Amino acid sequence: MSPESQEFLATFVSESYYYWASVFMILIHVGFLAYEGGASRAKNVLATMVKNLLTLSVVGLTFFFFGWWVYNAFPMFPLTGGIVGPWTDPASEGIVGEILGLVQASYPWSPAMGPNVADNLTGVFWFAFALFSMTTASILSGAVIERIKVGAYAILAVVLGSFTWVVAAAWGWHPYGWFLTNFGYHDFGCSAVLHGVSGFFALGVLINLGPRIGKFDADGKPKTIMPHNLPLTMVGLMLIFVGFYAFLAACVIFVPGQTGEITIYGTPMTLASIGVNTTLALCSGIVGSYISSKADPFFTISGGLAGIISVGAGLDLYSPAMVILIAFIGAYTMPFVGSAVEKAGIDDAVGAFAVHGYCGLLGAMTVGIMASGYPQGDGIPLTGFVGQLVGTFVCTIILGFIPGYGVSFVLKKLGMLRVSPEEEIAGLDIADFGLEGYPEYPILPEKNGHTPEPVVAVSKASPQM
Amino acid sequence: MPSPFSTLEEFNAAIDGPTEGAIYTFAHTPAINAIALLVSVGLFIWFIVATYSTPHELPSVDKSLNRLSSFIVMGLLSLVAADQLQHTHQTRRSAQPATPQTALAQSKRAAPLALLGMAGIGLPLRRTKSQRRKRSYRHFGLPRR
Repeated sequence: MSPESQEFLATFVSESYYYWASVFMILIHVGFLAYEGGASRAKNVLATMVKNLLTLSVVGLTFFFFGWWVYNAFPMFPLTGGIVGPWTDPASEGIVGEILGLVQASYPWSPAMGPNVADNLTGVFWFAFALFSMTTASILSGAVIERIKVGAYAILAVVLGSFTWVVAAAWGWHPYGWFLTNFGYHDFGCSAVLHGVSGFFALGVLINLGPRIGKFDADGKPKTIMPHNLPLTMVGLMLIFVGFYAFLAACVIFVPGQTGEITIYGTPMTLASIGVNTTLALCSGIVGSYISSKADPFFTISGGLAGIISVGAGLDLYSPAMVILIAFIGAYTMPFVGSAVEKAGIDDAVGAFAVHGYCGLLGAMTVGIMASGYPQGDGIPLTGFVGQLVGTFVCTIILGFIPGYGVSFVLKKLGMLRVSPEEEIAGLDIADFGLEGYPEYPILPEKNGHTPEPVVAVSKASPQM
Repeated sequence: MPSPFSTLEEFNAAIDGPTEGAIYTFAHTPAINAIALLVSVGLFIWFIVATYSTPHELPSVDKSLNRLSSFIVMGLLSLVAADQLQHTHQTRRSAQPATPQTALAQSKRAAPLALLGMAGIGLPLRRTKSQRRKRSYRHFGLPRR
């Protein structure tokens, strides 16, 4: 084999690896579609699922327009440098010069983004990151089902999926991000960078959005709104698990010229350990939430995800036995957090805050204790509690809760956040599409909050925004 | 410290170091991982035990004597009431000629009696079953319960 062929083979292995990992990541979205569709009531199933489809579109397009540039341009801003862009001196050297090359390849008009035989990798990394972004926005979509306006959700999904989480990734999941260079932050599986941001963003939105009609009684006590199809929800979560293996595999860095697999922080790792640790976290998480929720099917299967997220930040470093313990603790405590949120008067329809926000925070902070002292580069602090605390705080509060609360507050004041009570009672399928998800099965209409009479009036009086 | 390495050079050259390539937490102090493994096994056993403590009990059939007694009393009351009604109507009918309507009314008045009859059938059946069970115990030489 000629040296040129060997070089191309290395490129092709890397290109293929990220391509297929990204394709399998789409299963996360199949899973979210089934999970959230099943978790909604029958009168909202179509609206819920269409919202998931729209997530792919709005985040995919906006991530192409500006999200990919944000990831490459923001790593040093504001602590170690400015935002890199067309205004940056093309003759810059050092780190700025290296980043500038990546930034120039990330503009939507960049030749690297189109078919280009001189660059096989920029596009495939964009593909992987676009799927990460869609996943982040999908976490929000489950929390707000059955009462949010489609337009409001689209705006929030763009802010979360193509901006705030991308800034978090630039700062905390980038070889030049200031979380790493200044504080030694380590978050291999994006516990706080992705899950923490989205879970806390969802919490901020939920405060302004308010609960679904009928979720709380006159005394403020929460009432159970049952998923219309719990088996579909469980199948959805199983698909999310499959997609998560691909997601975590795509967090491994292997590009031509390397002599081993590394993390985004440049530390050595193996893909095999990701397989072992992810599987153990999944198993232990399910067991933990099964016990604490007293065999509640919804919490039990969510426990698998809670377990993976709880160990995600240190998945490349933990011993298998530690993974079992940490995942168990995260998943065991998750249902209590979900109940506490509900008791606080917040209607989180799928427990997004408990699973992603709480477990993301826990996962990132646990690295500061259970994986402290790891070196990540010359002049970079060792992994530790303070570094994890700074990164986790910025991710969850500065880039998660505050933007979520702020944007939804503005939308609320403009009357653009929530559907009218009449639409909500009639069901979003009728109000948005004039269709029912199950037209041949008009079963239990009273329990579904659906009365045929006001439907016509509502769909005429208040059409889709 | 959970990390077995103090410098990046050690970390990158782990394959030649004292941990022989192991880069995971506490690789330099295996006892901690062994303890964690034991605790993990304990958690698993807890899970197995927890699966046997079904939290949601099925609604059980009430076999208390109170229910049975109430049923018998209600049946007897309906019997007495039916008898009273029948007696009253017979007194009135003796003064009037018989018509098809009164014949229909008589058949309706018999309904409470039928109800009591059904209840009466149920009680001997229950006793018969228990007697049969006792007989079978005797047959096999088992002690009475």
